[in-house]
Amino acid sequence: MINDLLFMNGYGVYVWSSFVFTLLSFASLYVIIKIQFLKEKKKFIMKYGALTPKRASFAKSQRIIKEILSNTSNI
Amino acid sequence: MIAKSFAPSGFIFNIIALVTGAIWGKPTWGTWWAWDARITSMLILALFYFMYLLAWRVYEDREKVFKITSIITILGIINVPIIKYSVDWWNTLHQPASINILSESSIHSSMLFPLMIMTAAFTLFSLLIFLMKYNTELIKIKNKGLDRL
Repeated sequence: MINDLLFMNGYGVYVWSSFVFTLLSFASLYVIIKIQFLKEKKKFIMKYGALTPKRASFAKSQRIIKEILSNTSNI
Repeated sequence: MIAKSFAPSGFIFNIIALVTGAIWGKPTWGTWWAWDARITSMLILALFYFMYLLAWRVYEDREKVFKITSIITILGIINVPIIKYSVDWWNTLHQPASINILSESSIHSSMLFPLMIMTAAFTLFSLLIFLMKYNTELIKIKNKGLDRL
């Protein structure tokens, strides 16, 4: 049963290699996009932290900034 | 911004189609690659995706990058119906469309059902990547806004 699933009448190597390639592509894409996202978020936190209190309160009043800040604990 | 956020998943799906198609082509057609109309038009689409993504990385000037990516997108869209109808217009290794909305589909249900599940999975993954990328682009804009404060 397991052998049948693995070898698939000789087509197993083609099916499983395609499956692995797709899985690796998905994982790489996810990791790359996630890293880009975290990098930008980190940059935002640093820039926001460097603002003067007056500018920070003005920036904080904007909706999108509020949403980004709500997902960060280190500010 | 929507097009820019969808492009990475589109490019990866295109590469997956080309590579896994080549892997499956070996046992079915006896060759990894053929300059067949469907495969060649898919390769051209992959090149358009690559140029589109590269343009965003290479050009700093937003006016210029908008113009260049718009041209690439328009040319890429022209290629889409060519990909779709390539199997009908030319004699290719690929069979004509197996799934038809207006007439009866020739695909067996044992293949149609897994295909539908995988289509749903690919769509959901693409949506996830789109949302993450879109969010990243929004934060990038806000970062530029903070620079101007």
